[in-house]
Amino acid sequence: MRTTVIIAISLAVLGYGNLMAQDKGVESAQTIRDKQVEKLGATKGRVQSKILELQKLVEATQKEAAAVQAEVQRIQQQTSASLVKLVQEENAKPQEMRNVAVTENSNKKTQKLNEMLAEFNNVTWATYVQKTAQLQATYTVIVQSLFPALQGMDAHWVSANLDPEIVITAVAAVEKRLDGLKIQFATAVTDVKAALPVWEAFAAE
Amino acid sequence: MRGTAVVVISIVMLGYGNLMAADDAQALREKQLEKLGAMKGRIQSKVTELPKLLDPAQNGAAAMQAAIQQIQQKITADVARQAQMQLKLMELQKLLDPNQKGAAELSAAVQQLQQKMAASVPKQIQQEEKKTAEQKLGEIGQTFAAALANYNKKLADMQGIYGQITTYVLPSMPAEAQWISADLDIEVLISLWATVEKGADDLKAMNTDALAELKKTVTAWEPLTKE
Repeated sequence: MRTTVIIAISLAVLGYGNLMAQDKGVESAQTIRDKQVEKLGATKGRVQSKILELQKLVEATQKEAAAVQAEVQRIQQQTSASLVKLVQEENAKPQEMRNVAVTENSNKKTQKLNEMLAEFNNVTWATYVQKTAQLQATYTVIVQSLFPALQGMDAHWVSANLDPEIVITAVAAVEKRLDGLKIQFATAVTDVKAALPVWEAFAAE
Repeated sequence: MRGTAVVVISIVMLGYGNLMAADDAQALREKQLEKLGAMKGRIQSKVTELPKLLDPAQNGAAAMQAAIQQIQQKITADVARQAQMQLKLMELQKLLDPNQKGAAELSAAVQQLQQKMAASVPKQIQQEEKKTAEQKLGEIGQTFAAALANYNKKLADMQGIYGQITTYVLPSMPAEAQWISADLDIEVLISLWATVEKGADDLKAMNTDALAELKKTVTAWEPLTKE
């Protein structure tokens, strides 16, 4: 009788242990999946937020760059008009009262102004336009094609028995690229803004 | 003069260094694209091969099912023969009268018949004497039914996974050209494709295991058809 009781207790303990181990096994696989889903959700959320942030940044930098361009044009027109007026005033004077140095200086300044404008339009602004067009294209590909493709991927991957961890890595790569785009957009407008003090200094001469 | 020369040489070296770095990056990119292309080709081939492997008519599962049916028919026939022989034996025993002339010959005939009958009973049935042949036949039938049900479930799972891969996963894979134009890390794209390839390989391995398990059941009972 005692032996039977001992055997029964041993079997019960063994069965409970097996059940616990089984639960633990299932739980750990479920926990891994939960963590992956959480991690992926957080990464997707950050990407979504960065996309919106970048869109605002792009609009803001475009406005800033346009403002710099307008300011350069204003300075150029104002300085050019001043120089023309200066020469006209000098030319209006009687021959014997005219200061040749003023006219020569104005002509030199006008020439310098034209060179500066050509450089701004053909180099600084053209580079900015080219860079931002490339960045904008990258942004569009990410926002319209790549990120939407990656967004719905994990559900199919889990159903297809594929490891969703790599989808997290792919979304993280997109996030990293968006961080890079933010820096590149900011740098592009900084290059344009750097031209303004030179123009302001020239106008003040 | 010397200073200018140093500056010029430095600039040239720097330019050369940059050119070399650009060449290295280009070579790496080409290798990555080659790797990606090869992988895509392999996946395409595996995806084309998998339907054949998952088709019971082509992967041997249907043949094994036929073998199972054959074994079951053979055992059923054996059991029926055994029952018939038992009936004949009973008839002979009724006819047997120890006082009659020729009883010794008749007894020898009965013994011979008994031996023949014992030899004709399948080994698996003999091993469990307490069970009737019908019971054993029922158990064999259950074993086969379980093995087939198990294989069919696995097959359905595998076909489901294959469907997910071909219908959803592959069409939604990021386009290589877009990935490159967005200046994203190609290694990540390669890893995505490598995971899909591994999925196809795993599916193939699952199919091999499922077939092996079914084959094991058939092999265990196959000798019955040869007895």
